[in-house]
Amino acid sequence: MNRREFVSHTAIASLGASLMPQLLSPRHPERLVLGHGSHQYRLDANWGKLNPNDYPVKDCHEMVEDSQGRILLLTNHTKNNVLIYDKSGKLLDSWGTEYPGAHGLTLSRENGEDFLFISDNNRHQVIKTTLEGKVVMTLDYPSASGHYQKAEEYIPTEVAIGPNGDIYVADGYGLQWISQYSHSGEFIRSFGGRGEEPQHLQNAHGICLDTRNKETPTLFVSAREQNAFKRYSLTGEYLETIPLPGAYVCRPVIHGEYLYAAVLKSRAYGDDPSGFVTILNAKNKVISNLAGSKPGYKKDMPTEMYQTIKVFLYPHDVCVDSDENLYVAQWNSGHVYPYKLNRI
Amino acid sequence: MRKVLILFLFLASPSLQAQEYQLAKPIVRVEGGPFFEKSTTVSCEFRLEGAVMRYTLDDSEPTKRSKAYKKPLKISKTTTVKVKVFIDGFQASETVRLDLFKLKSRLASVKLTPNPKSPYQAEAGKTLTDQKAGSFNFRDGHWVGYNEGPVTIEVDLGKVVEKERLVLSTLVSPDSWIMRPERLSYTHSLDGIHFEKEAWISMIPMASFETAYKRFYQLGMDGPYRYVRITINPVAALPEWHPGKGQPGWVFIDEILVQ
Repeated sequence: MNRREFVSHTAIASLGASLMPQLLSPRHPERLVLGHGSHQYRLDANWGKLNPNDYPVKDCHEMVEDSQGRILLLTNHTKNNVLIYDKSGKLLDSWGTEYPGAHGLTLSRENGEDFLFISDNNRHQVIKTTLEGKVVMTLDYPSASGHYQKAEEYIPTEVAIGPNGDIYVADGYGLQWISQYSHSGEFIRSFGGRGEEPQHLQNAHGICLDTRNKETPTLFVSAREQNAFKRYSLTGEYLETIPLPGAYVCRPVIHGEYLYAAVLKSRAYGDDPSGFVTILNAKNKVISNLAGSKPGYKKDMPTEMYQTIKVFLYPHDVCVDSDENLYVAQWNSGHVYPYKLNRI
Repeated sequence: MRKVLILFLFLASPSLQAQEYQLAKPIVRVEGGPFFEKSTTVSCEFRLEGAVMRYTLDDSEPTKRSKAYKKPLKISKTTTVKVKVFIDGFQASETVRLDLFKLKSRLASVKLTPNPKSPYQAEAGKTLTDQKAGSFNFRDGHWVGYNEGPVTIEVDLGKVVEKERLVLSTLVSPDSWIMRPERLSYTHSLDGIHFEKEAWISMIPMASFETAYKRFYQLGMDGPYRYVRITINPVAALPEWHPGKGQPGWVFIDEILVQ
């Protein structure tokens, strides 16, 4: 099916608030359940829909929940790079006209105050702002690392904040270095980088701080092209790879004991729109795929994962709110607003 | 007339509202790839509760009445396998089509002019006779790629044949800018010097709904012949509906087979 056609089908479907039932009759759309085991959800494809003339979106790249329980969406549409919703999908605020390559959105809680880190692909910069959009810091390409000759080589996709406030930037569309800065923005080191060795990264698309082990927090980095996450110490030592065969995983999102990730597309279907959402438990085992194949393992290796139901086109990020519900932002999916998935 | 139309719209609208989601395609794997000497095994997988995979081996479209897939299929002749997933309440998946070729003789040599475009060079002509199929990952090393033409492929079968056809195995993947060629012609010869009149495969422009698939061009010859010269022009300008409109499209080839 044509992508545009598919998008319009999706639009029609969501007009009828259609979900697919688990034992699958569209005549009872409210019965549709996505996911497996302990993590199952009902889809709300109408959540957050706005009039595109007033509040347009291009790619919906990432979402976070702030301390006030508001849901923030980052899009690369420069009429309103940031759309701020409440959990019911009502728009509360919007701002941002200067982020043409808005890609990564990370929330940082600093002494009771929320800040945002925006990774901009086009500007080759990371910008720290207040929740109202006031710029408080701008990080240019890490020339001190010695890896970069010019800004264009650096296409940052994501930021993670360490326990001590250090800033880690993933250059997922550039040279694949993770660059670590102090809280005030002084360059400390780079690690990762492009290559074939285990410590190297191919499409380091996302990064997050994993505090599930409280004594030794670590960094989780996507190696999307390799269909894997890689784990590093806070000083950049490579620790392990978590293979996720078939799944082009975007950024890792940790909530409670679980790790959530939007899967942009399935390897089995080439470049066709074929995304889903995957959830890993505390041992980094896949336990649920939303609109994706039932998780399975052969020894320690997950069996190939793939899309099963065409609910999503190219999901790009998942946000888990304080009620355990999910929001899914999509890239290149016909300017769709985010979907909400209500936990059952 | 108008009443009929209104009635029609009235009847049609509930089904629109009950728009179903579509199932994704089943995963279909071939042991050792789609080119085989004696026999090969096709296995299918779709890990969604309640899903039934149905298949045909006669090139017809699988329906709800087609055979349900239970266990791997042993295939021992050139066959088109089609598999589709069904669950009540969902729109059935697209059909996965798999063309399996029983190999006859191997080509003696294939020469490509010019060399394939970097980095899609693989082992040039050798790649097209290695009896290994490329996957939908066009970077897998089993594909040669071009985005400008004309591309000339000179084939030597190593012996004179009568009725054999050549099959040119290609990839179509519009999202990756890999399109059907704009022009594909071929000519054959007994001695490698005097070639017959060129034959053309007529090409229809690509439509925006096409997704990735493998396309096999059957090149029939009015034999006897030993040498074939194939000329290919990739799409010079991607069509209006394509995100890369106006820029050159690619042609990807993984094999040339004798049938």
